[in-house]
Amino acid sequence: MSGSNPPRTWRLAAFAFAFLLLAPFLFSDVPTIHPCLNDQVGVVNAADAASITALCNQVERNKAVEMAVLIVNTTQPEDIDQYAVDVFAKNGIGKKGESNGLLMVIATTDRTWRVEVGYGLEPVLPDGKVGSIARIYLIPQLKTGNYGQGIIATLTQFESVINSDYTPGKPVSSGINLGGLLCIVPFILVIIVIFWAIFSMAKHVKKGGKISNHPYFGWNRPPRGGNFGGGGFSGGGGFSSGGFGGGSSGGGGASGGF
Amino acid sequence: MSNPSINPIYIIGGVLVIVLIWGVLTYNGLVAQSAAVDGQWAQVQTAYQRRADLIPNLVSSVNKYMRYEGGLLENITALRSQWANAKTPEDQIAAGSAMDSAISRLLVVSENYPDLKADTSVSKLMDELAGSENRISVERMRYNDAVKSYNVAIHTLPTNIVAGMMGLKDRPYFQASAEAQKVPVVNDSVPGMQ
Repeated sequence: MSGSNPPRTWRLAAFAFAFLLLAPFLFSDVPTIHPCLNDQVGVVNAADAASITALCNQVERNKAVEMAVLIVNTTQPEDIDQYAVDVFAKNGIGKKGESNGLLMVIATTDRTWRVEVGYGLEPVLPDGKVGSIARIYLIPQLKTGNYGQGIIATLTQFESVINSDYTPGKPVSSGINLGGLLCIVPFILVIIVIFWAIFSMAKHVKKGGKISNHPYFGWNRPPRGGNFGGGGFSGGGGFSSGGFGGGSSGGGGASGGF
Repeated sequence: MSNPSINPIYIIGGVLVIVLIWGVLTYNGLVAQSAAVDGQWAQVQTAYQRRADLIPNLVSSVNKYMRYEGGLLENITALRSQWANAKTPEDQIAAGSAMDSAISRLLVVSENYPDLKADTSVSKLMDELAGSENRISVERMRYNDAVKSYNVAIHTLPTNIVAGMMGLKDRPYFQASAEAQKVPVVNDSVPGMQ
């Protein structure tokens, strides 16, 4: 059957292969989210959702801080702390280099919450402050099922703290990475030298000489080993999706049940 | 041989150039990965230091509530100085892991003290402590991920050829889980408790 129509079999095989490669991304439990509200359960009404979006847009405008709220049924099999770290890392919440992102995760079935704070916001929103705000503004509302109001009240507190205490740094230029380019210069020089050497050797041999007699490359000379310090690659471009800047977090923030 | 268009020098030279460039690129990639491991180790240390810094404040503020946990608090204080005196990564891992289990014990025990939970300043400190624990586990996981990708790289073909030539060695994993999962025994033999 496969012998009669090999191209088709190959195409199928190629599809299967591509599918296998993509499968981890397609079926990953870590969702791709967008800025502001991501209500996957549907517990926030339209009016509250609009307020949440307005709040988070305002913070973005004033202080370039990226906020996101994710409501899911459950974070299982992971606990909410690990889940929040994964969602934060996958989506890169916050500006790259600033890491001024903030993610709130609420799991309605698990009855757990977490606020994950990006590295850059940790000084203005230490864990104790996040926990205190959540205890007063978030947990009581979550207990009564008032998800929208609880989120609005909590984000309002975060917004006022960010507005008074946080100074956004200089935005990291998204242009060409000069450091990375400079790293390549030694390589180019080395390659030029090597090509020149080969060319020179070849010419020497062509003229009837022997390589062993070549002024620079005679066998009796110790081999010239390149010794390149430095070099190194820059960390690669920030992978960001869903409209975030590529910020990162390291488990700062607070969490609990309700 | 006499054919001037196929000079073997060009072929040998070309292959050499490609091999050399590949070697340099591979080596630099490994060096970058090794540096990433070091950087991540520094993050782990920062997370541990952060927790160690919280301890004096915490112990003094929970002391009045936790009358029956004096041994645990002394133990935590003792482990903090052990951490402060640890010089080598091995000692730091040992002290840090011991502190992991003592702190998680403290967090569990604190649930039994309603007065303590009602005190907002203590709750804040508990948040900080839980946050520190979480940071440690996140940074440790990332450290182990960095070690894993480095160790895999230096053992798989063809990268291992370069790694072997340059004498690159395995980096150690941070294996704290066994120690941290053990329920700690609050011992009374801690100096200062008698």
